[in-house]
Amino acid sequence: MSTASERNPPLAGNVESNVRQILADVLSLAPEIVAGIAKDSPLFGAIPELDSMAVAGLLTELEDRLDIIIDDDEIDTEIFDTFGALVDFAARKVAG
Amino acid sequence: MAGPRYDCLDAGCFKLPSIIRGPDSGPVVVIAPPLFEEMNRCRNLLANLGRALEQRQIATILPDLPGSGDNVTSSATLPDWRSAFAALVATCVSVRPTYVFALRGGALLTDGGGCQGLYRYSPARSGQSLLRDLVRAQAIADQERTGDKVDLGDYDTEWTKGHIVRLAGYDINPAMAAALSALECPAPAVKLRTAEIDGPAVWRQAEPADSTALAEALAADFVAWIVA
Repeated sequence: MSTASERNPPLAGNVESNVRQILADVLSLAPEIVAGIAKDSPLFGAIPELDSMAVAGLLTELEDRLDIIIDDDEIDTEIFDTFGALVDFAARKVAG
Repeated sequence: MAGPRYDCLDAGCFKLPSIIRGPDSGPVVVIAPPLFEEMNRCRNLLANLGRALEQRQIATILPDLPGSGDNVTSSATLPDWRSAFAALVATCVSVRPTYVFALRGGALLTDGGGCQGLYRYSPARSGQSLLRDLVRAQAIADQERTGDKVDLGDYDTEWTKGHIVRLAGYDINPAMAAALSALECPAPAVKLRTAEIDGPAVWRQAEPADSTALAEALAADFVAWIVA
């Protein structure tokens, strides 16, 4: 018997694939690099394509494509520490 | 191909250092360049576009707006950018068929008035959105440097005090911040095409992806549009 969570995968799973795609699109990362990004993969400071301007651009893309609004007081480098942190942040925003 | 030429072109009361490509007669495309750091990231795309159009016997002019690139003007304002660009277009219109290609923030500076067509690619939504990107980038960079989270309102406070704030390498004075905040994409004054062509968002990338294919696609689409 399947559980409720198995029948209705948590939104975080969908958000994760969306965030991965946005990261790939914005930074034009090679498919093998995108596929290799794990939850604990560091982002800011670890991916050369991602500097502070690219972070700002990524935030804008997340807002546009996930239909969320990121407030000024949420701008924090911690969001970009790891891929998992970014997915968790996006999932919280999507959930409202 | 003859390769690029460099000249300082008359634009009203401004002189605009410009990269000029292509034939001396026939249609010319005046490029309204992206603003601030986005221009640096788009430089290769615009060079590729200039070459792709030159191969199609279409000339391009890529000006440095007052205070940007080789155009050393410490007090340039946003109205200066608009009037200088409009004057450059008017100068071209008087001698040959002229079109405007506007990329990102460049789309906010011109309605194409006087020329034969306005072509936009990935136009910036507003000056406010560009300013917000700069503020966010600076906040991220400041936090990275100091370790402390930044209150983005601090930048507004500095402008309120009349101070210049350096954002992502650009000195933004209170007048520029206010003008950007109010800047919207103008309604086109001439026939408009807003291209929907997939390609790398090089203006967002610290290490811009190869833009050769995108430039080729844009040039082909542009030519199809002007002959239609």
